[in-house]
Amino acid sequence: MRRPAANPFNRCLAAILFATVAAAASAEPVTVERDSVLRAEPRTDAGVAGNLAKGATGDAVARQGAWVQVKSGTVTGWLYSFNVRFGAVGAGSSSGASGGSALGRVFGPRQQVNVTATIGIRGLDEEDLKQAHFDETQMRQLDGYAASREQAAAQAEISGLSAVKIDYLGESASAASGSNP
Amino acid sequence: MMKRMKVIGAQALVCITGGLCATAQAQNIDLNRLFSIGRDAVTAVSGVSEPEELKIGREVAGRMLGAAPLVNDAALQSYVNRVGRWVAAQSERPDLPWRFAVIDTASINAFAAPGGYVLVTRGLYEILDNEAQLAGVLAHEVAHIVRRHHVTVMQKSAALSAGAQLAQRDNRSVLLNNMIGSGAEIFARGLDKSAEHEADAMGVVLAARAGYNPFGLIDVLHKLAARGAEDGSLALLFKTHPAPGDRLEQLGVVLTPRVAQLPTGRELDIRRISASAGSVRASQPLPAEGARGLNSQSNAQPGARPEQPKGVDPAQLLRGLFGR
Repeated sequence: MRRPAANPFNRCLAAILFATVAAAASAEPVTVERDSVLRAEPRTDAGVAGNLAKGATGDAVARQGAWVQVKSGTVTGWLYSFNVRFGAVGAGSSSGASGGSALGRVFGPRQQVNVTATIGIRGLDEEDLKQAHFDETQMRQLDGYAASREQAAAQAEISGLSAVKIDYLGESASAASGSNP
Repeated sequence: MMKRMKVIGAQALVCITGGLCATAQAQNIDLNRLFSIGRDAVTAVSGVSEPEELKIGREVAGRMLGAAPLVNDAALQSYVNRVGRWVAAQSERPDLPWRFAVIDTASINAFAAPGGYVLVTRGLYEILDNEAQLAGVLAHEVAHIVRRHHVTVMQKSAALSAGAQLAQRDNRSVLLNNMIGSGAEIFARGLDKSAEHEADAMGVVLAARAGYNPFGLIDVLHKLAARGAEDGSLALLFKTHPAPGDRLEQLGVVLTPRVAQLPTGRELDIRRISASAGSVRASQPLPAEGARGLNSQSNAQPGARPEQPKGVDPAQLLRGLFGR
């Protein structure tokens, strides 16, 4: 199951991004949330580099797509990011704020904003919505931007996207309903 | 007789306070027809037909755009519509009149309104790295609409205030507005985490069906976790909705048995917002999201809110990427 061939530009860009993220993410603490097989490369069919049990700790040293490369003791390998949580041991997995700074370095710059400073942050909230009125002009504009199924399929084809029949998670094959256009 | 008077009073309140009642009248929508007379509350809601769903969704989306207009970039909007429509075409409701848009607000969120309206905030769009992440976000919202989660919200709100509803059985308009009005409490307390987890799991698959890297949505959840609850643009969402870490954990549970079989898919470059579209509109208000998020939580008192507006609020019907 190999990744479709990327064009040279994308490959080059990916390499640059990868290198950047890898450098920026050095020595970020990580805790394994589920018993995991580490792969030698960020692919499910790559060789096994080792195993880490739930609760194992290490450092996230790189990221690629949904994969994170973790170094734990003498073992280094790739596993899915949803199987790890970033931050120091005991940070917990259920708090959105836990391990934020570590993740921020792996997944992008973190905004240094504290709770007090959020007063005045520009955004949309419930009060704005309650006071809002139906905007017919905007809705007509929205209608004008609509894409037909054919237009959508045409752009997908240009982008090299092909519809694939895949069951929903937890469904049997017989329940599959990928209604491809 | 007293009951009847109370009903009339409540209806007047609904109309005075705006919401769908007012906008529905402006649009010549008869709410009594949306919910046919003679059925009990839950049946009335669960019996919402697709045309009714479309009408409600259009009202909600139109008010949303009244609060945060479209980003002024036609090429971007067309692009997002094509990506979104392609994803939606992989769902069980491919022929809804799907509409996708980027709206001009710095808040990080995405919304789904009944009938096929999906709105992504500029704040969220700008943190996306590639088209697969956009597809993942849109797919999550498409899943809410496909599963009609907003109807579930209305059902639950009806159940919460069953006593009040029973007193108003003879007036479906009041009933409807009360049911929808109580959505605020649901929004604030987060009763329905399972709907979010379901939309996450479906979103991963819908994006994969469309040929994208299935993990775009997971990337976005990591981004949100990285930003943390103290990020102003996310403050309200973190206060009222499942943490990204929980959602990643749930996704891990359902993905683990299947992940090896999922195709790698494509990531693709994302179209950036045109520089000519400017930054977020200067005329936008500057709300204190965090404080209001706390307020909306503390006000979550089912059955004890006679003085609260009962009009339809888009925030109560819109199902966000991180909300319901």
